[in-house]
Amino acid sequence: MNTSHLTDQQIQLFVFQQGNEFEPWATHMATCKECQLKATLYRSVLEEVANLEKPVFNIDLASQVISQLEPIKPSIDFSRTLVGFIVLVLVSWLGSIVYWTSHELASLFTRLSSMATYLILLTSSSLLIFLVISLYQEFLDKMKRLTLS
Amino acid sequence: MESLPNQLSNDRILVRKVLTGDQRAFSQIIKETEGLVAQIIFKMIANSDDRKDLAQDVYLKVYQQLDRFRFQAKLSTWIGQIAYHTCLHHLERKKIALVPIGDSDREPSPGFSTPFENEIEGQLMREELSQLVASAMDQLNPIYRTLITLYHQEELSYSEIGQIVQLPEGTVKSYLFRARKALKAHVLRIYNTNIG
Ligand SMILES: [Zn+2]
Repeated sequence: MNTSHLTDQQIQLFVFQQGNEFEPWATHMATCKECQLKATLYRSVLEEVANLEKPVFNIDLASQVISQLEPIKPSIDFSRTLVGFIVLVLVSWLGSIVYWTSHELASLFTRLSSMATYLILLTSSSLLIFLVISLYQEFLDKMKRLTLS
Repeated sequence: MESLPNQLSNDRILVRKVLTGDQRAFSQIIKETEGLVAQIIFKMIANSDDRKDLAQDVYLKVYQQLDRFRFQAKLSTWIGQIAYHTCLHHLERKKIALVPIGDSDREPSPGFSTPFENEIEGQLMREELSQLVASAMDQLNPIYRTLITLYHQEELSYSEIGQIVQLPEGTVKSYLFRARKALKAHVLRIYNTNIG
């Protein structure tokens, strides 16, 4: 009888990593009762591990985590309120100008030189574009912070 | 189980959605990965309140760091890595011993195991063995218990386990050898105590 039994590590390799390189051990395993018992023990124990009940959290983890992520709604409402407020101020400002100068408005553009009209249009449109861009950037910043927070 | 390329493209879609503010996508990520996270946390941490807190911590970290995830591994593997290291830091903070490699997981003397091995041959009752193995798992140290679970129950590869615990594959293999040996030793010890 062959007395050079497989080492513990060899038995584990034989049981858990079946492959051609373990052929020489297979011959010994086929005839040695002692090594067979050790292999059976490993196989049975680790098969039971695979069958153990899997743990689960007894809470709704997803809801609990999501509820802690961030207060998304208030921030969006805040930026909407801000935009609304700015629009309101602009409209009432323009409205009062129109109201107080309505009697002179008709002659406004006829009396202005073309260069002055051009300058006024350029300044006001630049201001408007700047305002829109900065508002949009502020909005993007907020969204980014919300996503990453 | 999904193939790796499919899994990675699914991961990309989900991550992109979360990064544009879609919370339902994050909820889906949690539901798809909480099984693995539960396995890691339950195997590493004994206290049930700590387990719940840590699970939430893990996913809050995932959410905060998601824009840094580069898809070099499966999303679930990356989340497993965060879960494992969150538990590790928790145990270190509480000064709980981690890897008593070599000493506490010693093997009983050879003759000691014979009755059990013979009974294994003679078809030891399935439930009895299952209980034995469950008790023996409880007695393993947290890292061995986690490694055995990830390999034999979650059926992860050495490489995936290596990514989770951030150790080379060779080290994972050698830890697993010792872990199985220690588990077998605990099974035999409990069995012999029971019949003795
Ligand atoms: Zn032998």
